[in-house]
Amino acid sequence: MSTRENLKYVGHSILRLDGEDKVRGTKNYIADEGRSGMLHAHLVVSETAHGKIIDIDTGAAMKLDGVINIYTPSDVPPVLYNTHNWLPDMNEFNDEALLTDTPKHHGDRIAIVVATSAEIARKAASLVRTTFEPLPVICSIDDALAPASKPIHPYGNVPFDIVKEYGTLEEAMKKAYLVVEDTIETAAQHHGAIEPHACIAYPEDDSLVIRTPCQITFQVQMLAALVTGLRLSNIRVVKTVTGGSFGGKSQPVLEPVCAFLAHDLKRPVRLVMDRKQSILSTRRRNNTRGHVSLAVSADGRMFGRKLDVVADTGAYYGNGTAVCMAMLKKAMRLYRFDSQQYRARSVVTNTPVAGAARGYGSPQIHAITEINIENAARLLGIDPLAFRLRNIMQTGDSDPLGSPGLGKVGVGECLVQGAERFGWKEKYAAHPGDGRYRTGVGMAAMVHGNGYYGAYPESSTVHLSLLADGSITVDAALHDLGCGTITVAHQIAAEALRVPISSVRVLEADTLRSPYDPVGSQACRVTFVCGEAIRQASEAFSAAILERAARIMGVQSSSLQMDGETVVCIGSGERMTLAEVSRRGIRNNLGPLQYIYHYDADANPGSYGATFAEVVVDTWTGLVDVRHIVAAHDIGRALNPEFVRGQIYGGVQMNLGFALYEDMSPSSDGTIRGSSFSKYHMINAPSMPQIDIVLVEAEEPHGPYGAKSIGEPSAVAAAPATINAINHALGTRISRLPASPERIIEALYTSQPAIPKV
Amino acid sequence: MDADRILQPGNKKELLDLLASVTDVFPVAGGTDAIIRLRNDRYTPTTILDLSHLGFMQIIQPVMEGLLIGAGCSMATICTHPLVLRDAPALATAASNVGSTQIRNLATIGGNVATAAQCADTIPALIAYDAVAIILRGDGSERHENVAALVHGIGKTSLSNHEILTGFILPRHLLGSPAGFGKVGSRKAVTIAKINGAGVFTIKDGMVASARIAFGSIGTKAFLADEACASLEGKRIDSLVSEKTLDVFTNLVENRIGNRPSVSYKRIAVRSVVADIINQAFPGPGAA
Repeated sequence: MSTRENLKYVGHSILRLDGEDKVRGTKNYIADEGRSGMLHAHLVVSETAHGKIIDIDTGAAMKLDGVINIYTPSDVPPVLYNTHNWLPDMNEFNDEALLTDTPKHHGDRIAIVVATSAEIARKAASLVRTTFEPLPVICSIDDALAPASKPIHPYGNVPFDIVKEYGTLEEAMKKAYLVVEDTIETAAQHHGAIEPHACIAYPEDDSLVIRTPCQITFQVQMLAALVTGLRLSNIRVVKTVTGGSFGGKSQPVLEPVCAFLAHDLKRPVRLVMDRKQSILSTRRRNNTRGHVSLAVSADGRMFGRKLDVVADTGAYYGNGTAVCMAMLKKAMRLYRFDSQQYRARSVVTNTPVAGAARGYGSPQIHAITEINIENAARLLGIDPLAFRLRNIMQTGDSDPLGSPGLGKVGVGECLVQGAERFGWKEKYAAHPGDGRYRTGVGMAAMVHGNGYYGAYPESSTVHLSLLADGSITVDAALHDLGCGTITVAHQIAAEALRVPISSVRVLEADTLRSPYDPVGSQACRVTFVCGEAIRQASEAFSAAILERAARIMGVQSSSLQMDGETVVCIGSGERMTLAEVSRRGIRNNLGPLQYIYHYDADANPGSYGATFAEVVVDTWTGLVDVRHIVAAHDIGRALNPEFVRGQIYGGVQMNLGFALYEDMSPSSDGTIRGSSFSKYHMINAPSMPQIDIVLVEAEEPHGPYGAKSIGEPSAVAAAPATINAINHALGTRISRLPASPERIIEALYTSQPAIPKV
Repeated sequence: MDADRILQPGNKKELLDLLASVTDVFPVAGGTDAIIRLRNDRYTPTTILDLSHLGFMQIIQPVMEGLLIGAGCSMATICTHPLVLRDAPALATAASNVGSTQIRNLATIGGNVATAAQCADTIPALIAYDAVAIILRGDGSERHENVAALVHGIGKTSLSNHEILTGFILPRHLLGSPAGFGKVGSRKAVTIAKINGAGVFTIKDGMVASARIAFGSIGTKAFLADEACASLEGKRIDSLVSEKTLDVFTNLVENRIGNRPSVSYKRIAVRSVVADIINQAFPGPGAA
């Protein structure tokens, strides 16, 4: 591995390559794109949470000038699919159709209007009248778990129930000085990307082209084939500029619909959602409830833990299994226990469909476990920092359930260095005050993964080409969601190729030319897995370029080295530009210099972190002012430190919203009140705290130049740290997220007893 | 939004001509509420009346009766205008609490009142200042009505289809009085009030001579809490923020909306609004 000092691009905060275009507003997003003869589609979605359509009246809508067609459930193919299935043979419940005559949640798709303009389509959609026969609404975890609950789907309302354990929990409980129990709930969360969900599909020759800001082009291709009946070879999916996703565009919700329309009408069709539909009719974070029983000794050793978690997947099964398994993994890899038992159930409810959301179960399970751990520390009278440090995993520890190794475990450094930066000792010892405003501090630790190795096939294939002018294309079917993935890939490729970054062009995914990658941008794999694939591929390609140059120059390749855009012979000083290497190779009938490199991941270490929060709570309004956050992350190595900081600032913002404001909970009739940004509040700039970042760079051997994931890990620990700080300030035991002003006032003045002293 | 035409009067005469000749107009000033309403297709007018080019509705000036504030003044203008800051600081603070910077640049005080949301920030302030609305009729005549009476409920006012709200007069006797504004939303800024309120006080010999505190978001329309205010009168200004005072307002909320789920929160949160009002009105060592 190269040493830190001689790296030209890696470890440097170079500016993002698409930054200027984005700042100038010249970058085109799907909603800016048009095509000749393009039609506009608008979805008609259910305003009721559960019902059977007995009449759908499209008469008034069809009369509008410019309306081309209105599709109702009987007009679309009766294909069922699951937008979670990304591998071709994945077979989670297929329970979702293009349109349904039995809407199962507020926002479910019941009709589509296609018109000559977006305005007309939207107007016509508002004129479609439906009459429902109401069906019983199941809108909470308790409703779904109730034995008498009427199944929404044939597979029942609790389709997944699993127990995983190690050690003997009974013994741990028996020898415990204290078993600290908490029931903690987290709410459904909308991703809140600025760009709404959008895509364009159009026929071209005998193919169908889909342009979409998605996360997994090959999955879009697969689902589009399913609903159109076309073969995969006749469907081309092109990843377009993404105005934020955060997991929200991970599952192909719009693309199958848009592909079907373009195929059926033989014309280009654009489908752009409004905010209400982006909130109700795409995907959202699974809300969860977890009961924890933590067995501890009097001096702060964690003997065992029992976790009973329920995840609400919404109206379709989607990721019901995956989110439970994702939470399991995190619960096992942060602390040492003699034994743990983890039970997880997925329930189906008449609420918007859950799916990928930055962190994928990690924010939920860490809220459940880290609030409980802080409560335990307070009950034991032990500093939460010392309590955690005593029990955390260490480098060399194994995953207790036999999953891939933990790699370099940097959680201890995160806790210690983060606490130091935060001033934890002094702040934790300070009195919260007894006036209107109370100050408190809290912390949380976390672990996340780096791809799917150990659970699913995990590999990446890279195509490289040296072109006739000396430029080099690199295609690893990447998806930049707006966080700088492509720029970082340029850094890695240029570093490993040993050429100027301006000579390299890393392409985004296009199923027509990109190597097959069914996984796309998921699971914090892109930098760790695809980045390492690009590093290895680029090093190999660099050697191949030298080999080619050596043949042309008639010297040993060992006497050559890269120097900018030229190859130089160390002995003679003779030089040949990359363009000459390419052209003369072709002239000499050596063939184009192209390379396909396949990399199989062989590790999936933990990305660890610790976050510290200081809050001031107004006991008269329940408003929480988060004053200071210190986020310490075991990043392995920051390939682009400014991007890493950007991810952390954004992750904290998203996670604080999860802690304090964001809530897609349904009303008792299943409708979602928070379906616009005037009712669904995210943290905005005036409410953002000072954020200090500590990067622990211990270099993970399996990651590119030592790097590990940060996109998801950054959105995990601020929430439990903030809840812990609130409870520290108020002496409460708030356990429902978000800790809204109403809930804080309730905890202070009515129902909730303060934390009992031992 | 698919209205057939947009009318854009440039002066009062053109406005009157249009009011006399056109039916079913949808007045738009800053557009921050109207655009959302139009986009949601809740209402499809045939004619949009753009009030944003009417200079006579954008003035702030002293008049014989008090301070005239044009209905077309933006929140940004109101919260930074020296006369408003000096004479009606609680109204300036209320305007500064509306939406975001971008919204305040466009949203007008007339629009805030005419839209009549229960949570409108400037309505309690106008009521606290006992403001009178000036309403122009299609026949060129004017009528005046107290803001408290003009607003009937959520989205409901006494304004008829041929009437335009052109301004407000804040009566002279309350101008420059100690005053304050308080608001509790779900976050610090760009938030819809869960409770808001404004208070204007007159003082005699260090005691409260009169208090006018009006609240929004407690029920469907803003109101003057006259009975609760009466309990403040005669009290020393340095002892206004007391448990006893605040209990009066907690009781007020319980009496007004005791049957609603939000009461459990608002009965507590109202204390913060009242305390903020008083502390702004009487800053100093006595502030809580």
